[in-house]
Amino acid sequence: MSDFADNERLPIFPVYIVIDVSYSMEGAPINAVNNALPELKTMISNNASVGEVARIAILTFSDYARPVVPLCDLQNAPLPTLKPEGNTNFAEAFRTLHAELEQGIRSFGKGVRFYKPVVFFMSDGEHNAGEDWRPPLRKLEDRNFNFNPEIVTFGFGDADPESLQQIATTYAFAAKSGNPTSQVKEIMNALLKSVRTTSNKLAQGNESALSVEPDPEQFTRLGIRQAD
Amino acid sequence: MRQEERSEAPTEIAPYPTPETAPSIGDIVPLVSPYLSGNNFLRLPLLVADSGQLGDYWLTAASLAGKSHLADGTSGQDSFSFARTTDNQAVVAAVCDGLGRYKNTAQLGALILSRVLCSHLALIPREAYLADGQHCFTQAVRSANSDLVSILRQFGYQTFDQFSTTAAFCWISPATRGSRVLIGRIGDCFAFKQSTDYTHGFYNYYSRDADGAINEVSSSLPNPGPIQVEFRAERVGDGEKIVLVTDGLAEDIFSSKDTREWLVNRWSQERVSGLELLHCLSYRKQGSFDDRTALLIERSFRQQE
Repeated sequence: MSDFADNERLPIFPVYIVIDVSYSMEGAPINAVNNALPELKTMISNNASVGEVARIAILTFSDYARPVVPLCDLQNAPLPTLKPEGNTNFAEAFRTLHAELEQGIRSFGKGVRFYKPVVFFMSDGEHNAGEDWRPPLRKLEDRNFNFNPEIVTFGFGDADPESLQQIATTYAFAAKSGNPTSQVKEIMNALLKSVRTTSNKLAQGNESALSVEPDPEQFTRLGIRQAD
Repeated sequence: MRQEERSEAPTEIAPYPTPETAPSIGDIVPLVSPYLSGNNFLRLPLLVADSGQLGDYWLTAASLAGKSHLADGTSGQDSFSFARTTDNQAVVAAVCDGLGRYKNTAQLGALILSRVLCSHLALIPREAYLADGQHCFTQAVRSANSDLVSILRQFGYQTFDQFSTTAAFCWISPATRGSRVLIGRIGDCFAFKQSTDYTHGFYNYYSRDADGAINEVSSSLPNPGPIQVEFRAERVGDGEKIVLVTDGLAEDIFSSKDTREWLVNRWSQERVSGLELLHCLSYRKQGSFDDRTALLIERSFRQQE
């Protein structure tokens, strides 16, 4: 394939939001997520530098994982209403994410240029499926995987801090005690700010652009650990 | 004064031609008015250009700071340099791009490296290049790397990552038909031959890695470890230009047919001026925020006095 595109091929900043929709998210937490998604869309529409490069995908996971918004310009995408369902299977989340990273980025055309993808992974519980989640995570983080992402984790409720630390590659945050609704709201706020700031920094040619800053009153930053 | 004594009226000087408006490609953000940061003494100008006859060649070079710098007053981080070799047999040139993560300092690395690299490339005689160009380039880069560190130490710096920069450089010398060209690079600057004879208007010396993230830099200088120069050797015809560019402009050339057509159309003329090159680089393109630097070299038979 020629290095020269025959049409206009724009570089993209892929952002994947992976949301736990297990039964424990029922009520105020899932409502907080659903309320934040339109704000994300509005932020992208109002910030042209972000809109030019950021492409967003939303995946949900419980027993199974699925893309509810494929990687796209969110300004033009209908937003889903998320509903709680099932248990919590991290392995499924990572397998689906792996497939969606490759499929989603390639859907913009072979040879599309992209900034290192960023995944925001949020969960309020522990993995409780029978299989080990670490092998699919390792496959995701394998440096030979061309689309291997930076992973930022947010945990609240019954999330296991050690798991959050092992899943993350750069930032891991655990909620301090408090209201799950306000914690979810703060996660979504931090996510919005991060997408905006990171997109703008990438636009400045800053290769180490990822910036995530949730309210330190509500979240503790954890160290990163290798998954066993 | 009687008519016969009156000297002929001077030829009317044509007004400076109004340049064709540089295109806007895709959905673009309105430009902000530039903001100048008042406390960065390492800041480079937003616009830099140069052109002229150098030995057997016409050189044109220009740098335009990316629009991302306009809003926050940070410096453009590209630089270029060129020289005639001390044996007068060739011309050498370099473009350099400071790493964006070091937004207040990397341009100093680019500024210094482009110059010390050219100074070392210029010392090597033509016979040495023809015998083993890759070795010559490697030696010149190693010397330039040492000089860069030395100079920074003299300025009082003890660590050097914040001056990291990538580079593309070349040596070009007349041959029986066209010119012999040697190209080298460190990191992700690019080099092309430019001519309307090529399908896309450009021939690419360095093929791209089609997969892999843009913002993962492969190598840069200064580097305390082994230095790997990606080396190419080719001939170039008299009607063709050698073009060295930094990665922001390379990305636009690869990814945008409209940008390529604009540049090819403007660069097909002979002896492009520095001002014209600045104008060429002022196109607007969706998603294109990075600094843009191009250095063009063409064989030109007007001899330098």
